[in-house]
Amino acid sequence: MYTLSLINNYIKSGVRALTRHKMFLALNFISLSIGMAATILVGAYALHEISYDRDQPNAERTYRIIDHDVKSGRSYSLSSPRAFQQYNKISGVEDHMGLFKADWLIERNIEIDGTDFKLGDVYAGTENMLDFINIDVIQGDLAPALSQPDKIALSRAEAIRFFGSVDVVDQKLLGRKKTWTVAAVYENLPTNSHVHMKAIISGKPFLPYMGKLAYAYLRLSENVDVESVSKSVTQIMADIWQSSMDVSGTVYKLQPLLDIHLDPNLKEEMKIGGAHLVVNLAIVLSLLLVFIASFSSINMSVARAGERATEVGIRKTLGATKSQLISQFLFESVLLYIVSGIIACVIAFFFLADFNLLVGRQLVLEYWSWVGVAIILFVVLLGLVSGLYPAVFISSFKTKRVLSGDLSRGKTSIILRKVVLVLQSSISIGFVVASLSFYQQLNFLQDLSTNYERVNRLQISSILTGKVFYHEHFDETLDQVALEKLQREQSRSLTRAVENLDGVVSSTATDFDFTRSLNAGVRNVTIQGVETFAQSFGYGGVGYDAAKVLGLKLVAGRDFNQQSDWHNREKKTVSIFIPESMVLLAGFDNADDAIGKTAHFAAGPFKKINAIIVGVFKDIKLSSVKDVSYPMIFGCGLSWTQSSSMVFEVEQDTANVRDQIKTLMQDKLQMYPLEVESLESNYELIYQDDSNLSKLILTFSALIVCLTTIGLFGLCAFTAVRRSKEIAIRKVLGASKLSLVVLLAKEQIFINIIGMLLISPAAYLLINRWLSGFNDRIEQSIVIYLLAGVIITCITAATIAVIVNRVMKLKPSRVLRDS
Amino acid sequence: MITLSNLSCVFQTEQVETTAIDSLNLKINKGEFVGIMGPSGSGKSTLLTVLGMLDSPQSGAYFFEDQDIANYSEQQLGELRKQSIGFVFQSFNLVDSLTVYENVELPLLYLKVSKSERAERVNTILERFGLQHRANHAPQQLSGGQQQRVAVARAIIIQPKLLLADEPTGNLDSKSGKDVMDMLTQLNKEGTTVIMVTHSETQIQYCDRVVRLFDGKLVSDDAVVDVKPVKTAEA
Repeated sequence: MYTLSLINNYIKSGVRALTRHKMFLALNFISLSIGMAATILVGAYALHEISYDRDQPNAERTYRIIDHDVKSGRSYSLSSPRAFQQYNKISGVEDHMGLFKADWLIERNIEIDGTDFKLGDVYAGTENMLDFINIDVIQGDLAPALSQPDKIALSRAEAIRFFGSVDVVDQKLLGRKKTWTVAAVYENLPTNSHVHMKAIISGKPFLPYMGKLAYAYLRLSENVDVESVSKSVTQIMADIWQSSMDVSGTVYKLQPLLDIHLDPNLKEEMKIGGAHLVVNLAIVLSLLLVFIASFSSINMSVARAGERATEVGIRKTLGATKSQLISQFLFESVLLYIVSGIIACVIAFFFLADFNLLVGRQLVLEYWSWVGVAIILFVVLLGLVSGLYPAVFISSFKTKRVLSGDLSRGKTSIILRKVVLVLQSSISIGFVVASLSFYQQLNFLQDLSTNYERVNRLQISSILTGKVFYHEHFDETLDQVALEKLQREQSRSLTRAVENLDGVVSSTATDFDFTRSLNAGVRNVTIQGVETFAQSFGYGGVGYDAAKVLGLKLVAGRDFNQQSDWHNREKKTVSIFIPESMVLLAGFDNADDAIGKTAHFAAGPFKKINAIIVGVFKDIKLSSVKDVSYPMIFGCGLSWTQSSSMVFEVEQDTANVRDQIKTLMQDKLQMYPLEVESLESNYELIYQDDSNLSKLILTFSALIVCLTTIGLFGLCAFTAVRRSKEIAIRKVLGASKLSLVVLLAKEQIFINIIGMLLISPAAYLLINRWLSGFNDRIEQSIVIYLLAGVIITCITAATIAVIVNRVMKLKPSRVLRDS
Repeated sequence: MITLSNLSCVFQTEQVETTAIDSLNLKINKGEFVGIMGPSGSGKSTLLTVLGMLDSPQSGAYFFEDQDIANYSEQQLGELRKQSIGFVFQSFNLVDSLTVYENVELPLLYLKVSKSERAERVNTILERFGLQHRANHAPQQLSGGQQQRVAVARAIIIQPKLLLADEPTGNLDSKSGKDVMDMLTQLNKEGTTVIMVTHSETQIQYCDRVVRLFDGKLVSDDAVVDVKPVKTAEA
């Protein structure tokens, strides 16, 4: 009862003390609620990111096999059909499951009741899929879909897209050659899973293909040494492939299921995953925001402590104990934080859509759940922590001194205030530097010459290699030589047909993707008179006119032509381009000397190829400049990968040109449907993650600078009020506005300089670490640091000028009389 | 009621040590109205804060109702203070963020008085001081005289045994000042011991006894013998 009355009294005096200074209140609300809103959004994001795949059965004992190339540091999902039969024999492996993307192996165009549809994200799996992936079947039974070749299971979204209902078991999807029968409908898979399947079919018919695009999952028994299992897997693969490929630089690793989402993405992920760096950075940034907002709030509270000091003196005189006073001020702080927290929830709600766009997720904020309770606890805790210092500080005023009007502040509080200001200024300057550097580096990357052409280049990928190159068949009964001749003819006719299209200049085939990386390499390379190269080279299979279509810069020799260059299986010959960097390695004086020479190498299933050098090109940069790039050889008409692309040089990238290409290629290759992409936009996609990261940092830096400025504004406003008498006297004595700004800003500018000196080494090291991830990078320059300091100092000076302007408007006579 | 024996108070500031009260011996009886006079810096305000238990002496003894409180903890002093002592200041010292009613009610909250009793006591005292129509005003909306009346009301609502006043009329015009002095006299008559610091010889006339300090030392301690026209007229 008594306590209630006292709390009531605290509320009243707290609310009134806060509302008396509307500006103080507004500044506090703005900075605290922005800081907290950022934390709420980032918190939701972080929770979402770490929740991936936690709901899968026995998630903590499930692993995915990945193939790790020691030299390049890159990982792939690579398996072998023959390995699947052996996984269960490894001791410690309870079970294994195979899953792979079937889009490129099945006919995706289907017809339902006379309407055309296209299947997408179709995955084929082994029968035990449900033991590894949680799938909530709402209609029918998944087992037939996983065991019978003509059955299919659809997700809820796909069932509704095709039929408008989920009650569709036994309905038919009609393709040209094949009819699918729906066996089951399952609930859309949760977004917080690395698995993304819109339709599921049986993996049985595709077992021989379970190579490159296959994911192999293992379930281990409890307390099994993961390392020894991965060694066994590496051994199995080595045994299988020792005859056909170089396995020395390859190890197999078991990637924990729970790490898949945040680990570096493989090229073949079902969907783009997250990154530890982004999550950690976002958490650090949002906490910094809250700290900065809280520091500002603490500083403002301490700065205006004088106003509350009289009240403290009176309350003490009237019998309040120190602990009662501390709890009163803590209570006020918590009140301030709770109201800010409520505003923060509203802000977070309204900015959720933008934030989702920034992080590429579909987050929802469920305030009416434990999330709400967590937010309340967080806000109250923050209120208590940041209220503690001002509360103790204000309550410790000596009653006698306060009541006789002596409000000089202790040394500790002044030192603390300065430390906080230096800290804030360091953080601000640090983030301005970081933002500028990120921006610079990304611009640099975008402008970097990759030595191949992306403008007006279109591409169709995921073509079965056998359709555009000769492809080695393991079936010994076929006449390989006849097949190859047929293929060469087909390629010529395809080239002619494409060039007849309006707006298309030329075309070529490639067995790799420019924006990703090479699929193959060659080894045991010798060039006339030169010993075997120690290093292996990357290899890319291309078609006719490759230099022209791909925009390679030939420094010597000529382009591949239709007369003599295509791979000849009988004679084991092929024409090749070598990179400029190889010329010196091979001991030639200049590029022209290399032309016409013969090189030998082993490549994929071919033990020895006789390659004639017809061109030397400027080394190109594939994939992201973050990746290590190796010198690569291009060979005409020779490929042993599974999936290839066609690249088209067009006069202009228009919808009409794309349509023509698509129609012609679907018809010629008998593959449906094909998609036409632009090399330029694919290239931009490589830097999507970096660009999102830089957007994130830019947004948070802007907020950090903004909150620091708000805090500074509040602090200076109170300093100005405290020194209003001094300012008035100076004004009476003839001080100009500028001299007053300098008077008030002097200290802060000094603080900024110290802040800059303090943060620079740390910022330099951190930014250098980030930059070292790129092979091509900018040099950090002192100009950026000075610029950041100048920006922050200008903002500081402008803030103080606004306040001086306000104070100058007051009549000195009034100020002096009032005091 | 109060006995100070050999009491000293020293302040340490930066490098200077100031002796505010120097070996003071003083006895004040229950029901007295004592005035304390002296030039600036003579230690009278310090004496008042020591008497009010807001400051502790460095040496000597302070007997309050026969108890030596010189070594009391801050907690104990606070407990004793909120039950026994009322303060009135020259600068009123009302809590700006509370209304007149809430200011007067405040000491009762710290004394854990029930809500109904608080209401009754606050209303009675506001009525007695002619302030009931100002109950919901903020202190800044009142004149100086009215603010000091609120401060006096707040000081005596706990029915203190001792009322300490530090130049209570220093910031007031003469009419308001007289009103406040009349109120203090009335309280003294009702049995409250009053100790008042003042610069004004006129106001000493309200007192029974005047203590004069210089450099922290007691210079004189005399009964006020003059005929007190004001006081008799009042009586």
